[in-house]
Amino acid sequence: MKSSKSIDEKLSRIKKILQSDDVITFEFEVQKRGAAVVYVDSITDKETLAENVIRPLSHFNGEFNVKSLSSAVELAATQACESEGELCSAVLDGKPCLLFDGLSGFFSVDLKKFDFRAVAEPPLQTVIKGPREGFNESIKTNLSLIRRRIKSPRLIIKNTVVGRLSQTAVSVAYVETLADGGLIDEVMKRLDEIDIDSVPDSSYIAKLMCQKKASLFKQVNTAEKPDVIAARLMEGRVAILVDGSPIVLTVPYLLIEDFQNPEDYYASTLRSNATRLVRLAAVTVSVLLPAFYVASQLFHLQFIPLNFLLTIVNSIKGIPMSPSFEMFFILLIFEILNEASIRMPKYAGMALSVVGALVLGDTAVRAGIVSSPAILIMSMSAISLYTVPELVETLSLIRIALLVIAGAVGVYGVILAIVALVIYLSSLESFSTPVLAPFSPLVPGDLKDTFYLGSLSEMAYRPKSIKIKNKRRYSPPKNAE
Amino acid sequence: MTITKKQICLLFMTVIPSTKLLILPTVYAHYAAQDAWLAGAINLILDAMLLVVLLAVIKKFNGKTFFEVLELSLGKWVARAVYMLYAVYFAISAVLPVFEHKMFIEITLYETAPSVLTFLPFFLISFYFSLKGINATARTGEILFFLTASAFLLITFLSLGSARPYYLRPMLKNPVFRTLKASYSGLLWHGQPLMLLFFAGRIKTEKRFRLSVITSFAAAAFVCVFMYALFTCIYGDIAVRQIYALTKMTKYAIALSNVGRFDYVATLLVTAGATLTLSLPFVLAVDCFTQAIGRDKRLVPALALNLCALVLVAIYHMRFRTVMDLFEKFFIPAMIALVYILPTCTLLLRRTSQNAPLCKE
Repeated sequence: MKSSKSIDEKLSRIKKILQSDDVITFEFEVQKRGAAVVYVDSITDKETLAENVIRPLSHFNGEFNVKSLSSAVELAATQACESEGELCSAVLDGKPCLLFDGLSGFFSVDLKKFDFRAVAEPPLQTVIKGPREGFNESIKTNLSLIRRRIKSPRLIIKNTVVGRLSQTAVSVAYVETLADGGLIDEVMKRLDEIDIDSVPDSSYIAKLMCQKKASLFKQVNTAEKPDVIAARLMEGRVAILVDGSPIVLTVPYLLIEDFQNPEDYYASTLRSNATRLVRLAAVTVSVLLPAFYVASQLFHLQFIPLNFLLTIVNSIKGIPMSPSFEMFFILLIFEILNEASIRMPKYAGMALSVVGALVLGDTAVRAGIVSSPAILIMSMSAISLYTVPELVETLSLIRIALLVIAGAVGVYGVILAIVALVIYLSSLESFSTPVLAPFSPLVPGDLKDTFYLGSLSEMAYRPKSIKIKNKRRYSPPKNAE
Repeated sequence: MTITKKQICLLFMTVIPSTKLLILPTVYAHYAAQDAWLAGAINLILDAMLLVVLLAVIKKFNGKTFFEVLELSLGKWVARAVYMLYAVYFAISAVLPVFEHKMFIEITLYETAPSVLTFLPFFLISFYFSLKGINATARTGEILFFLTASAFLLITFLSLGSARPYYLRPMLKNPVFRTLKASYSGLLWHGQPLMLLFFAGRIKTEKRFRLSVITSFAAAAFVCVFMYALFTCIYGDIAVRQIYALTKMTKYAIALSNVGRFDYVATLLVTAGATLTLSLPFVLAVDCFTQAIGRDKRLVPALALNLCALVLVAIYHMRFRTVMDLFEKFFIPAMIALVYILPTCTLLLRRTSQNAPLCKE
């Protein structure tokens, strides 16, 4: 709807659209003509509005048109609005809009004032060595943290809005000279296709952008640290930032990324290699150990060394439950404790530890309900899983599935399930990139940053598993031996 | 979707050794005694010759699928008939290794005789493979190659200490007839290079394609012959009684008495590779069938084929010897015709303007 010139008429129409009580209309005079500013009380910097917008306009002596009036405002971020609809969107985005009697145009001033958490270390990606900054819920802060690390005009930010009602700001970041054009188009296309009423968190966008909606594995990666995002952008990936979410998305996703901790690149190469092997071993143990323990007890006693077998036999004497049910029981207890420890108030955490570790664990063994080796195996499995925190949800589901299979069919079933998982993963793609790369399809050059980590000078080229425009990232000094 | 040179090479190196170390070494030892490795080598040389022929066919009709070559040279209905014939061949050829593998799993991995249901989940995997098709199979092969290779390294490491090379002597003293008989019986476990014919037209044009494929085949063949020789070196005259060489070869390693039977890890890893090998004929059978009937939907043929095999295994699961005798008697001649002769005849087809290569390799 095109706006009319009478201010009262304009205000009454705007009030019909913005009926909320926190939308304030303040009327004042400019050159003895009526003027008004419309803003949302809770998200606008009122002090600056009064000092730098209303005051200069009240004393304005220049030509009475939108252009001159907007230049009188002592702030750079002014923007002309074409329609009342545009005006309302701006107001709801924390940009007060100014209307003048006798003028058909409006303009808005960016005076957003939200309260945000300070930049702090994210709880899920803590490091001993390396940057500790983490993203917060402000998209502007998050973009500034990325910009601080990539001060290049090649870093492009494209803004869009997702959510019919929430009108959530979403920014797509990429390095123009690195990211593949097809990938950027695909990301923008999938974002445009999202038709949802609101976007409370970036995980909504991640789920809606996936090709396989009911996939066991994620197809969009996440990070909470700007150094990680900057590094991924430098590998030709595309980052998606969502206002209100401290978690930034990156595509395409490779499964191996979850085994790559940012600290690996900051610590010494030998140490990092050892840590990665430990991580791989831990994941294998966490997923397979309970299943193999149950299968060995039920079907394959020959797998267990004799001395260990005698220990197990002594421990399970008198246990009323079958090995698979016993393991399930402990797994269930663990999952309950885990869920409760996350949701429970912090002051009750100590009590939970006492109840969980002593009462449930020790007493259950003493009462002869479960055996000590079973508790030991499940504890090892539970702890090991957290060496790769990004995969905890997926791997815990796989662990349960393997436990069921091991109890029913034995170790052959577990092997078949692993093969099925490999087939599934081999055909899973994230934005046209196979998630199992660089193992399948095999890209030998990229194996330097998998379970083996080469030194920085060895990784002169960016990963070839991802389509990229410029492959070289490091040039050794010409006089280097 | 295309198949890359690397995928074909890794597929060969996974598929060729992973099922040839169960009963086959015993079959060779039964007829050829200390020359068992030679009997195996003869079959592998035959396969190598087949590979060279198939590479020549691919070069001659570069960019065309085998079906297109037949269709353009001999007509649509001949092409369909030939594909149907191969669908039946692959379906039948899948059966014996499945029976063998089932016995291997039940006897070596389980403490007490498990129910027949224990093995049946295999058909879920082979159905999944059949449904996904050749490309997913090739990609899976890339991962399973690493598992199979590490398994063979572990087996070699554990069994080398027990090997006595003098068991291989006197070399070549076994009657030639018996060695050839061993090769003939062992032929049932061979012919894997044929899959290359059905990859034709989907292979990505890459440099040194033929050299890489031949090298990978040679590496896989070397592993097999080395393992046969190693098996004979460990057991000598009693090798003939040691079925399932895979688990028998390692059991005298001193490390096992200290740590436990961790050699089973190698067995399990080879089992993972063998799952792919056993599923491959199912995948190719479904591929040939869908081409023959001119439809793309794989669900029904994949389901039907796997159900048939499942029923067969469930009914005759205790009759491996009978099945093997039947295969030796009737299937080997058909196999020779379809695996070795017919593809060679394809080389004789004339290259017309229609079936000429799309691009130079």
